[in-house]
Formats: sequence, C-alpha cells, structure tokens
Amino acid sequence: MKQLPYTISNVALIQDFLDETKSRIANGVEITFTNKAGNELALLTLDFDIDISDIENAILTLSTENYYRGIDPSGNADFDVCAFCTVIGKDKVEIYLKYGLEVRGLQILLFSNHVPDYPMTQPFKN
Amino acid sequence: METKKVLTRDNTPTEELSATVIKSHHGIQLEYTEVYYLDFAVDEDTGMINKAIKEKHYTKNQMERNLKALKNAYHIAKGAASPAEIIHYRKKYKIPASTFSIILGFSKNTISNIETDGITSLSTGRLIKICIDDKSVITRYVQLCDALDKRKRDELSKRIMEESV
Repeated sequence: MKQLPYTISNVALIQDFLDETKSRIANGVEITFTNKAGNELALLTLDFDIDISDIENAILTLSTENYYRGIDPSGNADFDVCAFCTVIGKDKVEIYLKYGLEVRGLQILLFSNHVPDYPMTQPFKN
Repeated sequence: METKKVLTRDNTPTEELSATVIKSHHGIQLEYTEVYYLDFAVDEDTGMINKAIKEKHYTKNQMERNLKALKNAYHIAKGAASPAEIIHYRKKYKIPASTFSIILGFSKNTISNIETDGITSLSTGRLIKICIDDKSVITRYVQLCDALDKRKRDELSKRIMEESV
C-alpha cells in the first residue's frame, strides 16, 4: 500500500474517506471484522481491556493527521483501503488501524488493529 | 435447530457458524466457542475481492459475543468461578440467584447476569470462586447478611455445612 505525499488534494482525498466513514456509521452501518482483525482485537482485549466501542470511537475521531498509508487513487479496487495510526482506550495505546470502505456497497471492513511493530511515520502531521 | 442468519456483503443471507477456538495467551490456554460467518476474502493491500476464497468474517454483534466468551475463558483460567460452576453450586444448596448475589455483597441481579453473560470482572469471579470453594467463608457471609432473617441464615448455613460433613 502506497503512502500518498502531503499535498492539498491528497489531504482532501483522505478527508473524504473519513467523512464517508462517519456518514456510513451515522446511517447505521456497523463495522465488519476480518478474521485477522478479530484475532488482533482479541489480543488487545486481553492485554489492554480494549473493546469494540474503543475501536469505533477511534475510527470516528480519526483526522487526516492520523493518516499512514492508502488509498489507491486509481479507484479500480472493490474497497478503498486506508491505514492510520491512532491511540485508543483508557491507557491511550497506540495502534495501527487499517480498514476499507466498499466502493459499490456500504461495508466498512476492518482489516487490522494492533500495536505497531515499528514507529509509524505520519506524513500529514505537522 | 434454527440457525441465525447473517447478510453477506452482497446481501445474501448466510448461516451463522460456530467453532471452538483454542488460544494461548502468556502461557495460559484459553478455550471458547466463537461465532462467525463466511464471505469472500478481500485483499487488504489491493482492496480487491477474491471470489475464489471465503474467509471468516464477524459482524459487530458476533465480535461482541466472541470477546465476551474470550474474557470469560480468560477470567476462569485466571481463577474465577465459571457460570456453570455457580449454577451447579446454587442448585446443590438451593440458593436463589438473587439471594446468592446479596449474600456476596453484590446487587440483586449480579449473579443472574454472570450466569447468563459470563464473568465480566476477574475480581468478582475470584471472590465467587473463593466462596464456592471454602464453606467457612460463605457461611460467614450468610451470617453477616442483614437482608436474610436469622431463621433463614441459620437454615442456609446448616444446609451448606451439612453437605460438607
């Protein structure tokens, strides 16, 4: 997954992605978890007492500053996939969060939610 | 038995499936039942749906139930009483769930909620386990329970102690 450079149009692209996410959730679309995301969330639950509402809140409060990688700007994929770095839970655990928005549907599919394996650069920050 | 249905990505109803999961966490083996459904895999890098492979997916509700089951298994592995153990104990000594709750110092519905939803807190689960395992502790709490009259307290204490003889 490519990291988009910091340009006004790319920031706007990610902002549109976040706005679309919030709009879907506001309209009652619930997050779907892949097998991998489910296993990772189980670990976060046991290690940091993180639950689904923490993940939902994290997604709802994402800003472009949290951007890490994605989206494929070609628009040919079935899902627009984007990765972010944010903090969740009462212990403010830093996590890598990757999810996709179905292009020809409404699904919000969570691919990954785990403590990052390495420091994450956030190109749209500062 | 009728199974639950879940809608796939393309709005096709599919069956909710379940499977036993065994996980090892910090050296502790956890076993619980998870629920899921199958839908076409999505490549997380390209965002493309692969119509040749079906993978486990979880709805929010399924994930909530799975995390509850996982936490319950974790608490039991760490020394909490299991819901089945609590039910067995209450039935053996004929103690209603609300009475058992009050004796232990919880609110009226706590034991009933635990029996239905599982152990939600390790400290609570461990306290119950200690009381179930040690008759002197539970009979002491019975005697200290103001909500029961003296006759009931003595009757219950006797029932518990007699079983141990």
